Amino acid sequence: MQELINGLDSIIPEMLEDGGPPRVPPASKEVVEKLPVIVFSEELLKELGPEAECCICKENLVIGDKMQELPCKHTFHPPCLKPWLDEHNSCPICRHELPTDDQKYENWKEREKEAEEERKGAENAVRGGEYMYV
Amino acid sequence: MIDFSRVQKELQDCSRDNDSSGIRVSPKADNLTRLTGTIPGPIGTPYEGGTFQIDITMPEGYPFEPPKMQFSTRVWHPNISSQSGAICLDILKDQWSPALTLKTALVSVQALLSAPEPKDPQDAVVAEQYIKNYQVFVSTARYWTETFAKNSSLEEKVKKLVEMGFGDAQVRSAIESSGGDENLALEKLCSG
Repeated sequence: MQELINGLDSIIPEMLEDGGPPRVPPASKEVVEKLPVIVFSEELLKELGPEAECCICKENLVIGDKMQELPCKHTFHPPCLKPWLDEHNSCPICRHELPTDDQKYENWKEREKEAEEERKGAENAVRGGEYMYV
Repeated sequence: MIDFSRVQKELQDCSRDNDSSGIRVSPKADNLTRLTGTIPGPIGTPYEGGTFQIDITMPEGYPFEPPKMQFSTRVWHPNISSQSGAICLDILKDQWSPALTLKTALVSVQALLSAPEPKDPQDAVVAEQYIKNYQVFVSTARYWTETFAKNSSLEEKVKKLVEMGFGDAQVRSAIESSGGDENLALEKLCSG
């Protein structure tokens, strides 16, 4: 009986994991380290206006502030961004995902992307078919 | 550690533009860990005309963790527990982001009132009624709004009791001594 329970203990988490999307892992440490740092300059102040702020601490940006830039071009104070990317892999503003160090998650994402493209392909095929009858 | 300077700034921003949205956030105690949010029921919904209060508890990790929000005003909605006021909303759980604020979260809660998701229910009874008997759902939700979310103002209460034949000063002191409870005030007026 105990053996059976132990067996279930190892199977159930696997079964659960297999279902929905896995828990999102943190962003890759290496990628985060290599994020470009830009300095908030007078030109940027002119471009973005005096109301420009770091969306995490909500402080207005001042000339000379160092800002970390994500691939989606959203910028944050490095100390504000760090605690978030230590636990998550997405841009706080647009949810653009950074690569992670978790191979399992990356594989799952790749499969999802392919499935999504297949769905789109199927939709287009139907649409193409409709056009043929018009 | 809660970023109190950010919370403070959010409260200021909220009080600056509460006229247009009607959404308010105010601290419960002076330590800013417990707050009260207020949202008007969206127009064109069974919640229209109601004012809904939401208990907000700030977690240690704010703004990296979502604020805990729960209706303290009772509400009849598929995604809100009719018993506890617990809210089923993704941005208050795994879809939270530190770019969101108390204000934007409350805007989302208000949007949830306009657009229930009965397939992802918090309250199974309400969700079933929503799906199977929409008209009954609407009238129940409206009744709950009338009963729990419409707190008439002091002047309205005074007017009502004065119309029953009690004196103005007497009415005011009765309302005050019953903590604003109009029914309790009426009982006092009748017995004394």
